[in-house]
Amino acid sequence: MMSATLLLLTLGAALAADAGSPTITVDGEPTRVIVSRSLTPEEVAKLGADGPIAEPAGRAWLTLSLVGDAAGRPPTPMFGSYELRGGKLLFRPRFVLVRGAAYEAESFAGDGPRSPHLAAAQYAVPMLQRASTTVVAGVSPHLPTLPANVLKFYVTFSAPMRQGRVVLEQVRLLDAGGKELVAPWRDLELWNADATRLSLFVHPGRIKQGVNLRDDFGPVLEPGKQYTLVVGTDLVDGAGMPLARAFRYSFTTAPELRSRVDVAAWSIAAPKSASREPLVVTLDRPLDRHLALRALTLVDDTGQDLLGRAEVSDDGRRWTWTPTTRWTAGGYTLKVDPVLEDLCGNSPLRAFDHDLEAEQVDVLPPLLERVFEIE
Amino acid sequence: MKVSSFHIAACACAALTFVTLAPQGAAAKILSQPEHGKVPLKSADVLAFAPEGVLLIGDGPSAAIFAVQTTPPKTPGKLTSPIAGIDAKLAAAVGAPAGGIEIMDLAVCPTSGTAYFAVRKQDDKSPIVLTVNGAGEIGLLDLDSADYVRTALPTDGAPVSRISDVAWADDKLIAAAATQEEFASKIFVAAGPLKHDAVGALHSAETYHVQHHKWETKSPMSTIMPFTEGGKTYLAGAFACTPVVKYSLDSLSPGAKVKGTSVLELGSGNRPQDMFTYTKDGKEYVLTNTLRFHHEKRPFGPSPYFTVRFERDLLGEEENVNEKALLRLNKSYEPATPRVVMIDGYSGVVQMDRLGETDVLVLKQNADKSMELAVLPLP
Repeated sequence: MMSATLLLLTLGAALAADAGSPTITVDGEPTRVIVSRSLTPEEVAKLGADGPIAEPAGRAWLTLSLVGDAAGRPPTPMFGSYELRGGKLLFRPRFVLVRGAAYEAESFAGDGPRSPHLAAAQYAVPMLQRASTTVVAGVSPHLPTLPANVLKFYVTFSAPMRQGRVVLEQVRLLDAGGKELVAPWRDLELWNADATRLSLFVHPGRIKQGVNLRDDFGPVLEPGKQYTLVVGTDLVDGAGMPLARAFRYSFTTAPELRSRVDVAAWSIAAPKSASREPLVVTLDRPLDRHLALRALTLVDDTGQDLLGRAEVSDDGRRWTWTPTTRWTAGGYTLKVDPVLEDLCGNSPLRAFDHDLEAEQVDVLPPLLERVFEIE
Repeated sequence: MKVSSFHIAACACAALTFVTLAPQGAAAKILSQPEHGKVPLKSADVLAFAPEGVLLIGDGPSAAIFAVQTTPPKTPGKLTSPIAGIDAKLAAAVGAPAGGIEIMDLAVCPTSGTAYFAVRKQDDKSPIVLTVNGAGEIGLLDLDSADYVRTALPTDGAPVSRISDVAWADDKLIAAAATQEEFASKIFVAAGPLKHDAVGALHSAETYHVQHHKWETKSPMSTIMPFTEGGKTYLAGAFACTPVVKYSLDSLSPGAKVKGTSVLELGSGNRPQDMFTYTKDGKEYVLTNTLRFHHEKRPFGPSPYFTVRFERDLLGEEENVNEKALLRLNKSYEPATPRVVMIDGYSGVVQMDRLGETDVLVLKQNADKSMELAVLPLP
């Protein structure tokens, strides 16, 4: 374990440095420290035997606090664990220190911050000394033209990102003149588990017809126009570093798409038996690639699930599936989970903007599977 | 139909000085053979209290609800004076500068008045639960050594990104969640007592959107509130743009679709935050605070956060529902009914929870964007 005493400012000038002055020692990482102070035998006797010390009792002798006025005075002591060992009181913060922030350790005469402090030491956590490397790895969909009622964008980053509602203001939509659209997103940040993928829903209240929000403010995107999605360098990654560069994706908008996904219109190109060639399904429209990857599955004529690898083409119009073993001749079924959606939230069951009691809108019953033969 | 009182969950905290709502069936155990040790939280999205001092913590990345046993506080009682800059003080307690944490949710222990904050430390994404007692002292809920039960949410393969809200309804755990890929409304239910690693049941919800004049399944709930009515248990949910909908919880079967009844429309361009019931001067009300995300385009007041009170009888409405549901505002954005009123003194309330019979503990955003923890009287 690396151990180095850092900046030590003894403010209690009247006291010797070893008579209660706190010391801040780095504990392996710059964001982890151990704060210590020595105690007289009389002071040790007040605390008891070596071992853990309850947090309130420890705070009467030693604290570590963030330096800055925002939290007010007296400073708010940080949470951590106290230990008495060999005539010294040790404090380990419960949470890692923040890079770029400064901290102050204070020692007291057993009466905590209510009594004048004996001495203090400060420690500034160094910033990361490296250039930003995190970038936007991709945006989905990423087509030259999108329906004007496109429902959502997935933004994928090369590393885990810092979360927070502010990200909804840091991913912007600009019109053709570069003017920022106001409040285009549904006000809910949605990340995957490791915070590398952000889902942004264009506000549904401005997509659905007949909703006041759309009536009052209009749709976010209008057909036949150009827009640019911008992910700015004000986004911060999990290490606290800004994005290495901004990301821009420009697209034009086509008329709104308000019909359900038509599974019957898909074209299936079946491979030959004894091959490991991919099954290729050409779709009736671009699909949400993340939903397509888990909503489309294959079973054989006994109903057994097949193992293989699914992929969706960049334009979202082609789903391919490569088996792990060679195809055998026979009947197969492509099964469609109704969670499948296109780029506008239309599913095989119904259009996104649809009256559930007006089933006559879609005359034919929904189709959720396609049968094909391998010869 | 008369709406009866829902019995607010009371925690096993010490003081009973300002709580008179007793938990129904308080002898029933909430946790069955809990685990002891470090609670494997990935995110503390939302908080709510169940009876017996059990704190429910919704964790979206874990697709689970953690039910953690809390212990009585040493200093019960409601907050005696407002705490200015509470966000910075909470951040400092975990060693973070102002802005270095995000306050995800606020819940009040019904019997002690202690505030529980779900907090995310931004630099390392630590999920933290901090407490503030009546004396204004900040504490840390020990999640390293606790009795807890984890209830997993079945997700139908959809990755849960965030638990929208969680609540305890008489004898069951209720949660609403949002997924990263689907714009869908899901209700999760797990029967008590909660057993570790049990899996709850999933229900898809259909909602009548009053403004939309259509049934839809696609809108996830922002906040939920169980209540009883005619001896039956219901869930009231509020959505963006902002219908208040009720669902019956007594006839659910796993995987079944639940059809909700819209009873009130609070207005478009808003997202509800919190909702609870109370009684004042012999009359029952519901209080709900809301974020107006179109504040810049059409403000409802000085702050994007506004609060309305509506008569609780509206939840029992059977005739004027769905397409005939009551609207808070008319087409000119003028108040359309005296049964729903905006509470001016609650402007700026970002988070809130009921504090005994007469008060509300609020996390309030001031005009200069600073945050304050304060006690406001029930309106």
